[in-house]
Amino acid sequence: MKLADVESGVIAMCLSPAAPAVSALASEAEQKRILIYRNMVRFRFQELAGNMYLRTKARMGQDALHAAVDRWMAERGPRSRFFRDMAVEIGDFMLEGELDPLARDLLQLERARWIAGIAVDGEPAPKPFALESICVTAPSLVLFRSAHAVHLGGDDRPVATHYAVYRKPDLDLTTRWFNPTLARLLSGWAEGERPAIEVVRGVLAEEAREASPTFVQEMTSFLATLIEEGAILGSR
Amino acid sequence: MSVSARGVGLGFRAELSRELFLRPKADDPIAWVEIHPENYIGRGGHFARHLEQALDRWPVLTHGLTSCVGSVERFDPAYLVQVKALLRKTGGSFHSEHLCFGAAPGAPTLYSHDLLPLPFTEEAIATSVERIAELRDALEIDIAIENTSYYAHPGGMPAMREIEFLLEVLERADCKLLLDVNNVFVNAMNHAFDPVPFLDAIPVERVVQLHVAGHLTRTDGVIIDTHGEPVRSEVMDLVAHTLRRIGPDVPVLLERDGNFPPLAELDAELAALEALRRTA
Repeated sequence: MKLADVESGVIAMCLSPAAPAVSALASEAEQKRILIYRNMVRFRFQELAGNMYLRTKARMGQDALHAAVDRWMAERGPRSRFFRDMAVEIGDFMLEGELDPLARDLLQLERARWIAGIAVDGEPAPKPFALESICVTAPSLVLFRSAHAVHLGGDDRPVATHYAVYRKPDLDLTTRWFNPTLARLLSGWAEGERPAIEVVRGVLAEEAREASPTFVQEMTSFLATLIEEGAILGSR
Repeated sequence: MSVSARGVGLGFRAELSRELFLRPKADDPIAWVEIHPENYIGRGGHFARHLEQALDRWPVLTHGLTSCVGSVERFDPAYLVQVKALLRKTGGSFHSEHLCFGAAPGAPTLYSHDLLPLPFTEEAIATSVERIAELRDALEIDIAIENTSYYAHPGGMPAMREIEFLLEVLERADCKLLLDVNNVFVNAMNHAFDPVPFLDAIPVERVVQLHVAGHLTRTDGVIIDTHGEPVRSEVMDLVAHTLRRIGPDVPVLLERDGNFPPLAELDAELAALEALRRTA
């Protein structure tokens, strides 16, 4: 048996959904033994998903989560060399499929917090934040929209909520939620394509409103918080 | 500048890091630590900060998890550039990887995130020699390979014994050995051979580091290399035997990757290993 066939065969044995025939991979005496690898690999991914997605698991049940991980192994497979990315890959795969709406939102939150935690540290921006320049946001910033207020813990009311998760300078993770206007602003700034002021004008036009004193005050306070907490690093 | 490690070190794990940094440096029984580059490359936050703290406190050796030298697939050059940059920071005189495989050839590459055994064949030797050269050329540093545990011989009964396979790779690749004494014991028990002649066949001059860890014996008698249990006395005896052969200067690493006990228990294992080293 060629080495390439052994390597492909063993990985396929580990990731395939049903226990495969292993007669080609091991002698008769060692067929049970070679399956140890299948169990180890599968257990590792299932354990990881269970540890990373605790609230999701509680909502959907362990069996359903494990079934989703099984489907991920069979249909997508672990593509990053970094084990930390496995939770993200599994989460992405689950979000592409059918999920109970609350489980989906819990998964979004837990996935966002994991991504924010492992992101690279942000380099200092070339200059302080200025509305006339393009905004530079932290690599840890993750934005998502949820149909449930999943930050409320046990309540999880079905209230559409916009979230930002990021790592503060002290490395603690923070989860912030805000109204659709602020969400549109931050989303536009995070794209990093247009000067921040153009994003503001675009949002105002989209919402057919003026830059009222209340709007300006709310936006200024929002910006100050994001800058102070390291979600916005400055401008370029 | 090249950093050298001596004495008994500990595998640096996130689960232990906070507690390790809290205790006074003067009372630290850890002479050096070993990190997995995969845990730090392209990652910020607590991991990046802990690495800086570790570098301030101990000599740091590097031990890869995913550039397994038996992989048919060539290594990703971009990733090796990242490893090289990390090695510049850590300053070790060698970098180690496993003599096994951990990914399937083809596109996309699929990673097992577990160490999978190679068949003991001429083709696997040739592949490993080629990959070790590839690593050495890219990283511009000495490469050490670690003998891994294996529960079965993939591809059927082997063409040669493990020791023959290992010695051939070492010789033809002209590389160093990270000798995992627990793995020798696990393999010896699982495949019914005597671990002492195996250890005695290892060329002393190739050994740059030892690994020691605990394992789990299943109800069916198969021993699993878990790194989640205390080190067994039989393994400690083999460590003593190895140190007597190799000498006390080789750095010894205690690996603990799960089922973490109170730090005092790990300290006791470190002290026991240090005692073996001192009397070697």
